[in-house]
Amino acid sequence: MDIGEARSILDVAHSAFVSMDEDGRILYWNTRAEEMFGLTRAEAVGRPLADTVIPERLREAHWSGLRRFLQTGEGAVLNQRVEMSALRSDGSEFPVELTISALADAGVWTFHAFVADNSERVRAEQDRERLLDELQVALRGTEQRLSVIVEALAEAVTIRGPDDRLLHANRAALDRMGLSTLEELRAADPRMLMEGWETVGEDGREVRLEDLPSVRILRGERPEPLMMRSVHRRTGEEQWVLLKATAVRDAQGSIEAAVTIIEDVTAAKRASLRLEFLARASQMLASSLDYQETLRNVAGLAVPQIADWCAVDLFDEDGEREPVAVAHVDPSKLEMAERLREFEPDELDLDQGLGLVRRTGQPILYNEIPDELLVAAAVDEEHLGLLRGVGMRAVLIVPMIARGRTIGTLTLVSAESGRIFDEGDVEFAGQIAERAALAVENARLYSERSNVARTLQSSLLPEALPAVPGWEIAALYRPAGHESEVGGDFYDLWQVDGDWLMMIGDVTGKGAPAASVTSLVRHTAWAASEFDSRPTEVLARVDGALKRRPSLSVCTALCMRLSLGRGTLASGGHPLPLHIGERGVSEIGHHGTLLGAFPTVDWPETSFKMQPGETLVAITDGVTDTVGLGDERFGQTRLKELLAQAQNDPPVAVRERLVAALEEFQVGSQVDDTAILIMRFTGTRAGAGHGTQVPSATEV
Amino acid sequence: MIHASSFKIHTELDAGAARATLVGELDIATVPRAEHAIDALLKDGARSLVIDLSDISFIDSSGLRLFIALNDRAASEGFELGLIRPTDRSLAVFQITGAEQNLPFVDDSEGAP
Repeated sequence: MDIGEARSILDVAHSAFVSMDEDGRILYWNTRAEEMFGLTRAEAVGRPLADTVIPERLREAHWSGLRRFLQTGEGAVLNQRVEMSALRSDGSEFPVELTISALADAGVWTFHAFVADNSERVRAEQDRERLLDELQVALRGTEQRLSVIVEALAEAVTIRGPDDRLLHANRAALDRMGLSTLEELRAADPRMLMEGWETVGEDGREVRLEDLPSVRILRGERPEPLMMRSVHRRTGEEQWVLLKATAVRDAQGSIEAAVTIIEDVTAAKRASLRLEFLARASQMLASSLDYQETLRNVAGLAVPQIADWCAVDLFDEDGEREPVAVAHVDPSKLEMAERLREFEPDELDLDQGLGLVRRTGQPILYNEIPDELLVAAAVDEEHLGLLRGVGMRAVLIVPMIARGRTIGTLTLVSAESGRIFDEGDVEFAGQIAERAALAVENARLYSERSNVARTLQSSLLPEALPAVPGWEIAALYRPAGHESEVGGDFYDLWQVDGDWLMMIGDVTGKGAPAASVTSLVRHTAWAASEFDSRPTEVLARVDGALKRRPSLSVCTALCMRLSLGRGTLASGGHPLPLHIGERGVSEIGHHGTLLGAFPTVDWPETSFKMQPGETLVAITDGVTDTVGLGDERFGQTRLKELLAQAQNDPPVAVRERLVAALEEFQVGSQVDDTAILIMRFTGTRAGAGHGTQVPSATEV
Repeated sequence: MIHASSFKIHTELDAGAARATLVGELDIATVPRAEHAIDALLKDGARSLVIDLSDISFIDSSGLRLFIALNDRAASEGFELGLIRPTDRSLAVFQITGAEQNLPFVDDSEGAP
């Protein structure tokens, strides 16, 4: 390659290329150099390089370096990347990165340098430092108040910078991470910080750094809030957290950090998981009279969400145990369980383990499994080896009690997951065991499915209506058809943030499929209301949950949030509630989309006020669709007339009147389920609302 | 005795174009019959299906569910579905549930074979 060829290549090179002779004069200057320094080749060639591109303060060093090299052959800056400041022809300085090499030709030296403009990178670094400073100022300095607020939040709050490192965390967040100072936090590798926990999402898959909402925001994505289960590797403590991240943008709109609010939703999430589990277990227990198979299914349901191992043992009349079910999420481990079983005597030791639970009817919780315990339980060396091999972290044994007799035990073992059990787990396991015991007992005593269906139906409705301050409430549920069938109507009433949420709904279909949708709707509404109790939001969550089911699952539901003398409501394709007041009976609220059915959705929310003595009546369509003579339906008009007559009745009397009217009207047997919820506002003792007249049940 | 709703279904199938005319009350008691008749049309190779609801006097939530399921099925199996509107009285269930905007209602003239 001759010089000309080399130069034409250098002319199109992306980097600036500059050559200099022994006298320090510019020999060559490529096109990129022209752009970078703002000087044409004709202007540059022949001029001293130092005067052209080197800031004045650095020129002396340049000349002395050149002299030293020519004398000694030593160059401090040769053949390595050097960062320095350079000068444009307009006198402005900018950061560059360059590599200089020296070539000798016939005893004469020439110097060549590739020069890259470093402004962008340096600016990015400076920006990051500035951001850090600003954040620190914002959080600790002049904006003391913000800092106080962030610190005071019960929720943990963290701020993540563009390099994924955490820049800031409030006290709650530091405590969560087991750190004591912000310096420790900033020095920590973000991946290492996550190492202390085992983190999985709701789908059971591991959550990695890349999956965190804050990290995804910094990648320019728009992540949904992430629900994550974390188990502390050392303490075994399990937590459910909801991570919501927001982007912090600079004046130009680019993302410079991500703020995450880490909400501890352990209690709500566990409650919802447990409810879901109970609903599914109840359904399973009611689905078959083959209780052995059913118990196996229930045990399978418990792993790995509740425990790593789940076993069910029943006792016969003579107190001998009958192992019925054992489940582990990994089928290969089951073999180990089978082998362990072989060592265990059928005759129970009444002073420990299952025998003790059978004798006392009390649960036992071992959150520490010292080796001595295994030694005491083992019958021989081989047995001990197997027991040690399970790697038990915690064991919980609860009795299955039916008719006052301990008929079996449910055993939960935590091993691989490393979590421990708490009192909530004991209570929850007790509830499962109670239902399982009931199912076994029912199966043993009766061969009719109807009993099981009744049990299940009652498990889908609140056991008793809670006492709601300021409100008097009566409810009615009348399932249609065979007793062995479970209906699809439901209602529920529960407390959230000092207000009360009421839900009434109708799942189309009957039997076990409808029951499983009903329980899904109820537990979803429960859990959703913990996060956002606005009726519209609760309906949206239920709609989402129904749409995630593999088969079409639709449901109408009315959701109301009640406070003293006022409320809000939204309807998902459900008949609107009727308001009974001085001025008669009228529907309140606006219609909204059926749940689980359609891509286009809208649940307008309506606020209303109530005067003392006024009543709300929520029904399912089984009421108005009741069939009378000549295929006539009971209808809305008849319902309104009846309620108008009941204007001054307390809820229980309204209910009795309505039931009597329906029974009189109805011809033949009832076709559809019927649910009714009647709520009268009794007012407060303080007599709020007497001074100012608010329009009654008007939408405000 | 179980209430027997008065309900009739009349079906035609011509060169892949099917029409089902529903008369009377479509509720939890009669939906299985409607479902059965419509299934038969699809099994016999209907590629387009018009369901005439103009003579329907009552529809409950299980009737509505039938049309939602059919609409989902039309999307996944690739047949054409058109519903001819019922009268005002029985249209209510479609209106209060938002189904009116989400189900493929057609004018009678378009749907007629």
